Amino acid sequence: MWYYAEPLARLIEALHKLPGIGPKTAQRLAFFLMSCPREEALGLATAIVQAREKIHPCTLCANLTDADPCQICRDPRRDRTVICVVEQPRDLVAIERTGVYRGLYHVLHGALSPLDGVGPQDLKIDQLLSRLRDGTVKEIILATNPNAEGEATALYLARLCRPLGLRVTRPAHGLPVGGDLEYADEMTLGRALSGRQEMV
Amino acid sequence: MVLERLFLKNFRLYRQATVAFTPGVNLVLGENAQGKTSLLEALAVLLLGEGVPGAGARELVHWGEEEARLEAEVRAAGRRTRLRALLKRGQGIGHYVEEAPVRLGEIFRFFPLVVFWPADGEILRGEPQRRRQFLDGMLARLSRRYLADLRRYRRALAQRNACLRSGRRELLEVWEEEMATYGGRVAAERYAALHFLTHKVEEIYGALSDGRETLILRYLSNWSEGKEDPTAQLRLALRRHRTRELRFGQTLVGPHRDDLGFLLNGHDLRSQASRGQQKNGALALRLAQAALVAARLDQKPLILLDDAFAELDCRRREWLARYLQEQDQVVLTAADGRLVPGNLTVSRRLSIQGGKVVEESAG
Ligand SMILES: [Zn+2]
Repeated sequence: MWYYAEPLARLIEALHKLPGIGPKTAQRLAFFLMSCPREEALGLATAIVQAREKIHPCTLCANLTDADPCQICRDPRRDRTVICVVEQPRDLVAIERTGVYRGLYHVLHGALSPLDGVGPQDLKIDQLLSRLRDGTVKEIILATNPNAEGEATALYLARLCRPLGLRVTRPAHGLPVGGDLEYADEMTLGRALSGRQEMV
Repeated sequence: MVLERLFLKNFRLYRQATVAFTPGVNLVLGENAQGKTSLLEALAVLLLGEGVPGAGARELVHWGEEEARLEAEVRAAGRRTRLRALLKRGQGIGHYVEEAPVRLGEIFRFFPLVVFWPADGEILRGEPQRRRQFLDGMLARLSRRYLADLRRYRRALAQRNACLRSGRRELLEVWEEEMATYGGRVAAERYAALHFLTHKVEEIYGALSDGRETLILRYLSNWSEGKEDPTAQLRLALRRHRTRELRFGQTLVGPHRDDLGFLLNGHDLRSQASRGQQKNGALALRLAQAALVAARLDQKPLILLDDAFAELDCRRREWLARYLQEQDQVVLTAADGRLVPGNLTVSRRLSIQGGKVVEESAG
């Protein structure tokens, strides 16, 4: 990229690495950051640095948080007998938005996918199992995505949790086939959660 | 539902042409390499998204041009609808109903089409993969659910194969469950379609051979013994083969390995039949497919037959003529007008020369 000054070229390259940002968009964003007020551009840089410095996974539920344990894990009004397992922090947000769920969460940060080299040891599964040991938790809701990887992960977890004497459930179908929780609308997601079924 | 008009621009040797069709039998006459097959191919590309098998999809766009355009006007319940396909060189084909981009399957379910190509004998004599493509392509067009189940099955299969290659035995089970669920549905759909096709193929081939020969179609599977509860059968088969498959590093049983068998007079058609018999078998298969489409979509498909009369003897040509007469709309080509049987009532006749319609007449 000889036609860009070197720092600009590096910025474009960094933006291009972001999901959903093609080379043209990266170039447009970079030029925008060069032409907008200085404080705005530096504000963005500071926001990125601070978020990266302060945000880390909760040691209990693995959700992204700036406090440990996270707000949800500390909230005394939450029902501590239920844990809802999701793939990504954004899925947790989607479920929180429905307002129907008052239990705790556990974020796996992925789903089983041997094709991508993702096995059980790459997900927060040991951390989940250690939360189940003291007997407080009575039900575990496996709200992984309704695609092949999400289903397989749910089944894998069900096999691990059932011997512990827990009720293991999965949100009712009616979610868009192959879709992600993230994209399900709040009504559908709320209904799927309240109509959850025991896994067999 | 009737195809009334086809417009072609920069498609194969056609620069620009408009061709009118009528209900009943439309006969396209022309010497070889003058564009009569390309006319059928244009309809196949427009409605099925694929041209003549093995005929080089890269040359669909006229030499030296960047883009080809195909448009069909179809009439249903007094309303005219325009179906379009845009072919850009080196890119895919875009399909549209009026101005709206649509998925291919939607066009097919709106205006179904079945084509017979002379090379279709390859379905019967070629590799098993060719027959699975035939079956999956047909069922995926008829039902979106089949396509979704098939994709889901293939995904789980790829994941299980990755487990087999890395020797992660403890992870096999969850993918097997996924494969059993969706592979079971795929197999159930195939069995149901085969049940229908088998009867039809037997009936049509019997008639084509004057009752002297029989052609039996069978679903060949190394994991299922019949159509009862394929999910349970597949689950069991996958579990049984684990040890062997861990050695091979891939899944050896399941719908992705199944095949169609054709028994001609009790013997495997692949080793026994002449080329003529194979071609007749393919013709029977395509006509049976048209009957299945009609039954599933409650609408008779447009049928295209490329050079179907060649290699048939006189009695068979006459039988085929009677069969085609019962269809809603047929377009068929012939290089030699003398091969067209006298009992065929043609509603429209076209002559093609050098990518142009040089003569048109009713009847
Ligand atoms: Zn937490």
